[in-house]
Amino acid sequence: MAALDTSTIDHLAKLCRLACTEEEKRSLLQDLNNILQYVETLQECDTADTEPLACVIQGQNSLLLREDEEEMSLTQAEFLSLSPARVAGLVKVPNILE
Amino acid sequence: MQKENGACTAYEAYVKFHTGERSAEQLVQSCLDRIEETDGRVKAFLAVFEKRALEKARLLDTKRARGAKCGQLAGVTVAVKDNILVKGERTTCASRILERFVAPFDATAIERLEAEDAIVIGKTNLDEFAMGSSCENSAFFPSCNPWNLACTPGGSSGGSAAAVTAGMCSLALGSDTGGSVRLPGSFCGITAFKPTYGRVSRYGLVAFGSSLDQIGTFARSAEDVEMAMKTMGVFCPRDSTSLRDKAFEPVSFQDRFSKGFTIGVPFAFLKDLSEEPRQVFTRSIEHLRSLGAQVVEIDLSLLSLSVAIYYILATAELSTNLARFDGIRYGLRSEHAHTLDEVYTLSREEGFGKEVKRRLMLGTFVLSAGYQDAYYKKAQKVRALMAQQFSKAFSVCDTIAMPVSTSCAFPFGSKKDPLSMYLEDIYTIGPNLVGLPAVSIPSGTVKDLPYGLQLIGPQRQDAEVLSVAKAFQEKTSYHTQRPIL
Repeated sequence: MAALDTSTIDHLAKLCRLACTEEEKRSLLQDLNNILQYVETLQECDTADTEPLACVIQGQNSLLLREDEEEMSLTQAEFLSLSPARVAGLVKVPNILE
Repeated sequence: MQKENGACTAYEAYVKFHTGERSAEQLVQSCLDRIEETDGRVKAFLAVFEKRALEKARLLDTKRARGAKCGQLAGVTVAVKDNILVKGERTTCASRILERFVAPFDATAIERLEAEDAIVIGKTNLDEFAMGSSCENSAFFPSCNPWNLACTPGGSSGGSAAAVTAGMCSLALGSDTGGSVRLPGSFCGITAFKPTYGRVSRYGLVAFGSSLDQIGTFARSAEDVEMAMKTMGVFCPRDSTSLRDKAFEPVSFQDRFSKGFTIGVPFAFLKDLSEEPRQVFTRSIEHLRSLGAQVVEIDLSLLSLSVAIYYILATAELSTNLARFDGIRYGLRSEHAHTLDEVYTLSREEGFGKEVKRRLMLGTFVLSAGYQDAYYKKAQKVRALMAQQFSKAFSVCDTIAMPVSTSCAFPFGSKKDPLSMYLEDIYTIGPNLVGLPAVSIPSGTVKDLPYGLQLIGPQRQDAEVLSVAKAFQEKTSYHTQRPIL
C-alpha cells in the first residue's frame, strides 16, 4: 500500500498547483493516508479478468462528436468581462519570459 | 384571501395558474414572502431573484391575458443549486474562487424549464463544488434542516432540499454525483430524483465527476418530478454523453406492471442497519407488498466497496475538472501573485476550501505516474463488476428497494472525520457508478426526523422508477408532511 510522506505531498501540491501552508500539508498527509488505508479494501476484489468500465451507458458510444461546423459561443466582450485583468482586448497575465 | 403557507406543489401551482385562481405574480410573491419569513433561519438561498422572478411572472400573466399558450410549467417556481449556470446571475458553487463569477450562459436544464414558463426564484447553497454530504463545506454558511435547525439538511444539494421542504418554492434542482440529491431528500422528507446518467443534460452544470454527475429534481411528489422531467429529460446536442433516446414520458404503474411486479432487496448487505431505520425500511417493504410486489433477495455485496471506488474515481475526475480554475480567464485571481505560477497556486490556495483541497490532492495522487494502475484502473475494474452485479439483480427484479442513508439527519459538527462523512454515501453511490435512475421518497421518521426509501431502476427506466414512487405515494401520506417553521 502506498504510504504518503511529506515529499509526496509536496509533489502532489505542485502537480495540482496548490500553494499549501505547512500546517495544511501536515493535515492533508494524515487525511490522505487514512483514506488510502480505507481504499485498500479494493485490492481484495478479484479483477483479473475484468476490463475497466469505459462507458457508463450500455449501447451508446459516449464519444459521439458533433459536425465540425462553426458556431457562435461567446463574444469577445462577454469572454473578457469574466477575466480578472484585461488590457487592449486581451487577458492580462504576469510576464512569462524574462 | 387566505394566506398560503408558502409554495404549493408544482401540479397545484400549474392548475391554479391555468384556471386563473392565482396569477403568476401571486404565486411568486407567496414564495418570496415565505423566503422572507423563514430563510433567515433556514439559510437555503445564496441569492434570491426577487426582481427577476416578479418581472418574469408579470410577463407570464400578460402572456396568459392575451390568450397565448403557456408552458407546461407555467406558474411553477424553481430554486436552482448554485453550481448550475443561470445567465447573467452569479454562479458561485459556494466557493470563494467563483464568488463573483457571473454566468455567461444558461444551463440547458434552465433553458428547458424557462421555455416551459417555469420561474427561477433564486440560487441555493451547497457544499463547495458539490463536495460533501451536509452543506457544512459551503464557503459561505451552512444551510439548516427545516425539521430541526440544529441538524444538516444533507448535502451537497442541501439548500435546494431545504427550500422545497420549507415551502419556499415548488421545485428545486440539485446535482447528484454520489447521492447529493437523494441524501438531502431523505434528510428533509421530500421526493428527490437522480435520472439515468445522460438523461438530463450536464451542459451548464459545473463539472465535478463527469462520469457520475446528473442534475436531479426535488419536489413534494413523484408526480411533480415527472413534470420537471418531461421538460428536462430530452437529448441535448451540447452534452456528448446525453442519451439519444426519445424524451422522457411518464408511465402508469398499473399499466406498466399489470402482469406482476418484483422488488429486489439486498438483505445481506443491509444486515448492519440499526433498529429504528430497519423498522421504517421493513414497513416500506410491506407498503410495496400491498401494491402487489413480490419481494426477492438480491446480491449487491460489491456495494460495500462503493465508498472506496467512489473516492478514487470521483476525486480523479474532479482533479481534472477543477484544473480550469487557474485565476487566468475567470474566477478569483490572487492579488499576491507576481509570477504566472503564483497566479495558479495562490489563486487556488485562497479560493478553494479544505475539503476541495483534500479531494484534489487525493485525485491527483490516484492518477499520478506509478499509482494509476493500482488505484484508478483498479477502481474502474471493480466498477465494471458492480455494473454486472446490478445487471444480474435486475434479471430477477423490476426495481431495487433499499434505504438512502444509515440514519436520519445529524447535528452540525458531528462528523469531523472526513471518512465518517464519506460513509454517509454508502447506499447512494452505486447508482451513480452504474448510471442508474434512483429516487428517494419520504417513508417515515427516525428519531423524529425524516427517513427516506430509495427505489432504483435499470438504466433508462426513469419513468418506471417514478411510477413505483407514485404508486407508493398514492397509498401513503409521508410525503405530505411539512415542518412547522
